[in-house]
Amino acid sequence: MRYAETGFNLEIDLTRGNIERVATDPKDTELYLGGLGTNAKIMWDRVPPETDAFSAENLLIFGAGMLCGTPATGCNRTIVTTISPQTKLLAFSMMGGFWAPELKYAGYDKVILRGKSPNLVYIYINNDDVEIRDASHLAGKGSNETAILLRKELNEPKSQISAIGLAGENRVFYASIEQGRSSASRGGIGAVMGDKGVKAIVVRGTKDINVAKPMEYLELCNEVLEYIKWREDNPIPYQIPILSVLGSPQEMAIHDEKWHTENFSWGNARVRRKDFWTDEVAKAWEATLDGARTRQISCYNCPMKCGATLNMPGTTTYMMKCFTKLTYTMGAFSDLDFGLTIAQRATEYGVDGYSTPQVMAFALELLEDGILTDDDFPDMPADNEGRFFYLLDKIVNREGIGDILADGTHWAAQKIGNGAEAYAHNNIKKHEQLPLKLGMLNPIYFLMYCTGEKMNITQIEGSWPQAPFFKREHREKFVEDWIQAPNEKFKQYLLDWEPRGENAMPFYPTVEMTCEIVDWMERMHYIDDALGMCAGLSSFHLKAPYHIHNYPKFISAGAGIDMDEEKLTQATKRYRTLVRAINIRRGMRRKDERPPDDHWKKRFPELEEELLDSYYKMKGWNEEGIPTKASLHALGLDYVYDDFVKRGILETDKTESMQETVAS
Amino acid sequence: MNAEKKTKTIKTIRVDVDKCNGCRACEVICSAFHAAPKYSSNNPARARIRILREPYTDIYVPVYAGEYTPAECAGRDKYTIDGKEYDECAFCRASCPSRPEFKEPDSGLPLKCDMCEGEDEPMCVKW
Repeated sequence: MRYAETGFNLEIDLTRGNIERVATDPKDTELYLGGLGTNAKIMWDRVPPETDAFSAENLLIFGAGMLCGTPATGCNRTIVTTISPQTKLLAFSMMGGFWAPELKYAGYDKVILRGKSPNLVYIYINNDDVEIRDASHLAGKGSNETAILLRKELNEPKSQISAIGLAGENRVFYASIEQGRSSASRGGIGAVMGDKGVKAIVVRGTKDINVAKPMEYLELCNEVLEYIKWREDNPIPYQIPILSVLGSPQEMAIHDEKWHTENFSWGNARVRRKDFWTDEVAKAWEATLDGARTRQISCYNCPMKCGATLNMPGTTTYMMKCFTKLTYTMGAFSDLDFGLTIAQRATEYGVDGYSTPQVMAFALELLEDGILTDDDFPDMPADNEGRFFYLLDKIVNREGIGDILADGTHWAAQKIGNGAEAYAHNNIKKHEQLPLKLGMLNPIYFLMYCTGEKMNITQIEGSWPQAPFFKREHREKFVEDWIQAPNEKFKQYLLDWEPRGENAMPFYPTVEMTCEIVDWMERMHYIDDALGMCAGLSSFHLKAPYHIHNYPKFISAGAGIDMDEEKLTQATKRYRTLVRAINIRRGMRRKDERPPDDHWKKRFPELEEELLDSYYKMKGWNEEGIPTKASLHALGLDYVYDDFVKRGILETDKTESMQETVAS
Repeated sequence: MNAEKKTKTIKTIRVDVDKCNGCRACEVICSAFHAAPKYSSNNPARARIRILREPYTDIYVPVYAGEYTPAECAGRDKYTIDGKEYDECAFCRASCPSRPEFKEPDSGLPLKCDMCEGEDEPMCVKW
């Protein structure tokens, strides 16, 4: 009997219309856990580096986390994995909500789509009944509009549905996959789904999910619930509102946006407005959010209610959570009324809330500076907000300038030329980043920006504070009950971290400490992404209920695999390295691993080189960021090494002697 | 022979539907609690409590299973309460042939809420 997992994947060949239920190897679970881990293994095995995002050979994998469908609170995430049309590297985007548990209850751990359907279809899964069905009547419909229609016409009110909107159908490079109050947004996975001709996947499941050690598992779950309650009564002091409490940032609950609006950049990640948050703005925005917000809602089996149902005048009801609350507002130098109104349209179209506002602001900057002209924007409204609605429609329909903008700032800038490249200034590996332009280099964030394979800072940061606590006594208080710290050394690092002086950034935490800290933060996210756990109860937060010490117990008691901290660390290293290997094989190298040039005002090139050198070494990668023979061997990834040698990525003996040269 | 008088507290659950956030943790823990062995599996389709979740009309109604009925009733009215429209079946606790709720998904046998007899409070309330 398989525990936590179902033991079966759904393999769907859209070209031939073939559907198979394939048993999986429990050994893979031990080695790669599940979710992102086993997704990566499948991508490595079956998608060669020559495969483009829009090739029939590209896979689109919907992986339910390993512990989804068990009683673990907050464990409900689907990890979507494919090749990104924008970055040409691996894309993995997650969504919470209700879809992954439902897939598990239907009896499947993953849905793996290959090939392309000649016509627009949707996939219907109801336990053992799986069908590819005609979706021509859904073409062009909104993502959630589609879900509502399907639930009605199928008379499946309890089904869970993931769908693309028009943006995905038109292969916009930042198209998302929407699921009610949840969204797998980034990397262009929605474009791949549209390219494969799949409008939606409907799931309904009524089977059991088993756990190996029931009483132990329940006790672990109850401990988590107790800790969540404790954290609610004990928010972390000296932190900005969203970082003091648990949950996917509680943007739907809080009104105080001083920190975001005054520290993040407005427009095309350009302008910092240090005095923006006045009492007037605060009152107006509070009124907007209170007026729009009908109810705060949760994902499956989670008490945090990070999401909200919103009703903005003039639009239909929709659901939202997190930072999209502000991205359109700030991209357009506008207000919350505008932001929440356009976000409804964007949600139905199915586009990523981080990239889209930036692309639109980028276009308007080019117009302002004469690189694009009025001819490129026929009949565009004169008012600011109207322009953004116009651009959104153009992009999603790939009409005129929209067709160029739909590929994202990097590719659009290349196509437009004429100096446009300088305006695509906020990308890492061709992918738009959060609009943040700060002063002093933060060594921890430097490494995370460089090496995070998800290319999104929020998906690698969290367990370590963004800035030092001002007073020593604050730091002492913090480490007193910091059970999540991997070891005592980390507590000492934090105690000695000062806002000014010798023990301040960028030289403290030291290079060595920084590497350890980043490695730990990244590990926590990777564990979440294999187990299907929401980072809002885990890797995104300080002092979270899930951490390196209790995770092995969850895996043992839930999945019945013998697991301890060391084994868990080893397993995450293994699939993290596999993710790396996939990207290396696709051509990624050290030169690609850099934050945007203007990310911080004060840069330290020598220190930055040292950081990257040391981090690569610590990870077991050579100076190009390629995993070495030795580190691959230690992880049981000899097959990766063999493939690297075959492709000339590593040379059999040369690399070792190169390393010797570097060492001496 | 002395006949001891035993008192029994009949429990009920009062639900404030405005407080429901739609997470369905109640369904998870109910089905887990009633699994045999206890907590060895879970399956919301086997839960003795189900929520009616319609986010677009802000309808969130937890209902815990009541009596079994061998035949459907004829009631199919719609009710408007606090501006929201509900079907008659929305609040019904019966295990009824007209719908899948409160039945084992495989055997079709009716499910009934037993207030988690033996625990200090029902698990759905606790979770």
